[in-house]
Amino acid sequence: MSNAVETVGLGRRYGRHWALRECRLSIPEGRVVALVGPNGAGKTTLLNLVAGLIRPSAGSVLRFGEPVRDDPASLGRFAYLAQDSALYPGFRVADLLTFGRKLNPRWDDDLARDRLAQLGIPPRKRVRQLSGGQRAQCALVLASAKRPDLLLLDEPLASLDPLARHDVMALLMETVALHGTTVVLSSHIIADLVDTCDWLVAVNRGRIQVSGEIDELLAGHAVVSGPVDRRAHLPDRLPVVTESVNGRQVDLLTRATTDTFGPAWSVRPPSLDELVRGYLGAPDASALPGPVALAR
Amino acid sequence: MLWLVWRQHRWQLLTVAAVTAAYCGYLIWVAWGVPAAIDECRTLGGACDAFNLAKSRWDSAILVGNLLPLAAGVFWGAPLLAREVEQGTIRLVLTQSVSRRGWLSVKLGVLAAAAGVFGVAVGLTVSWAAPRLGSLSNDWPFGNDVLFSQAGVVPVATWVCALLVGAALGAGVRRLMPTVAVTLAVLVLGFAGLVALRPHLIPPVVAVAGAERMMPDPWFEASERGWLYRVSYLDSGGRELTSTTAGELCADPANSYPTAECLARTGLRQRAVYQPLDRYVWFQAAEAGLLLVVSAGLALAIRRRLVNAV
Repeated sequence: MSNAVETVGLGRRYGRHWALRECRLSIPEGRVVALVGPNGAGKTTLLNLVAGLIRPSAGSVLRFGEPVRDDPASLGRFAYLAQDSALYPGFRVADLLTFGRKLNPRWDDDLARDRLAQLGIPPRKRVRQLSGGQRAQCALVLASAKRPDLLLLDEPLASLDPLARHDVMALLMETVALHGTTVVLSSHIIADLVDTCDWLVAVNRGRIQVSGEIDELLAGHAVVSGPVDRRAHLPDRLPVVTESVNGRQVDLLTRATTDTFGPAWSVRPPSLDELVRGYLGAPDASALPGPVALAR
Repeated sequence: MLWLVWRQHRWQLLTVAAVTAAYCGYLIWVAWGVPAAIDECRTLGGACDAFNLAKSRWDSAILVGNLLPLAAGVFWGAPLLAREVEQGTIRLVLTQSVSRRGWLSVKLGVLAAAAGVFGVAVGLTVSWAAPRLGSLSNDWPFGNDVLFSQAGVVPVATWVCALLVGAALGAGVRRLMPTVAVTLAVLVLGFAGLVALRPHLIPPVVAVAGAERMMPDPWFEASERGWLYRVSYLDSGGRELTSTTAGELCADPANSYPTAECLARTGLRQRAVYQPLDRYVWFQAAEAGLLLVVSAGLALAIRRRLVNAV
């Protein structure tokens, strides 16, 4: 199976500042990818590069094994929901559907209509009269009715209330189940992603820090907890990603280890949240797949 | 794509169409009655009020008419990219299954075609109407700064060029209101520059003639001859005199400017710098060509900018 997204040495510079650099990434088809990272880490830059909206300053992007090209066939295979989910303010909702239909050969009009009816968004309403959440929902309908093989969503949940978030994630899961769409969604709320995503990409300070299947990542790490005054007794070769001290207890996020450290120490698998926070708190650490994982 | 252009620009297109139609209709209405008014003015004891009224209406309308192509630049061209970028919708439209080149060529193509149609309408109207006033006033398009750019094929090129100036500035400035302001300034300065450049597009004819072949002076009554830059007189020593100085030399109580009789009597020769009437089409072609070349260059620049980055 080929990769939906593959980047090699990808970088983007704004003036002298690299928003993203040396980015090597492979996302297999059919995954639901959580793209996480602090604000300004380069998430949007990465998505813009994959969408072909900006050009790389270095390296290259492949979508489904093909270079990003400015032609209808290449553009038709992915859909992009930008962070502000900007739509034409003067358009009626019905105009947005016409827009999608006229500009996309693979457009699924029934899907778009059904979805808008479900959401209770009247087609006669103008975009500027919609609430922020409704606008985001419309933009998402527009993106999914394009019937993409790859759906790129930049903070799709930011302007939604918890109920709508749940709906959106459910819709995404349905799309993935029905059509095998690859979804990449960026978010800074990790809790939203736990149930739905099966692949994690963490971006920090313009570099890819973690990329891999979530189950494998969780299985490949451990949280070692114990008294802080016994910290020095742990072996030096222990592959610690990051450690944090809570009162008299120290928690270490480590790569998987078969060692045992005696009765004072407990070892348990990390939660996704712990894993992400652990890596984002230690920008120099990384967990990237080796060549074997890439070739799979 | 055609649907999108219509949906996004329909009000701008309809508004400018209405204003242009009103303008052309007004010019036709004013010019319609002019021949009768001229006849009345020319008969002995006839009144010229009707003609004068028509003439003043015509003059103000023509002045305003020069602003019309600004509408294409400001209302069609400036928002084309600037508003998309400002609203963020550029990222929406550029990720549909339409290539950037395709999107840009349809948008620019449709709007340029509309601009061309409106230019043709103005060109035909003015070319038809101006000669109706011409026999009693200076309203020949050739050599008239405000009329030339609205007659013949020049308005077609002017409208198209105004559109592309707006669009190109929008691609550079990327915000709507600053783009509108800069477009207005650039178009007004550009028009002034074009008027200043126009006499130099083709080198004029310099004719020195004696009494038998001199042109009537003042030129006003002889505008059929073409576009006169300057009339002066040379005395026997080759010194150049203005019409007034030469007229004083003639000392003819009936005429303040030299006549053929005076030239024969004093030996003055008339020096005329002018563009013969048959060059009108060349000037039209040169100016329209220049504007279209600029337009094509701007279109390429916009395409390049759009294809390279957003």
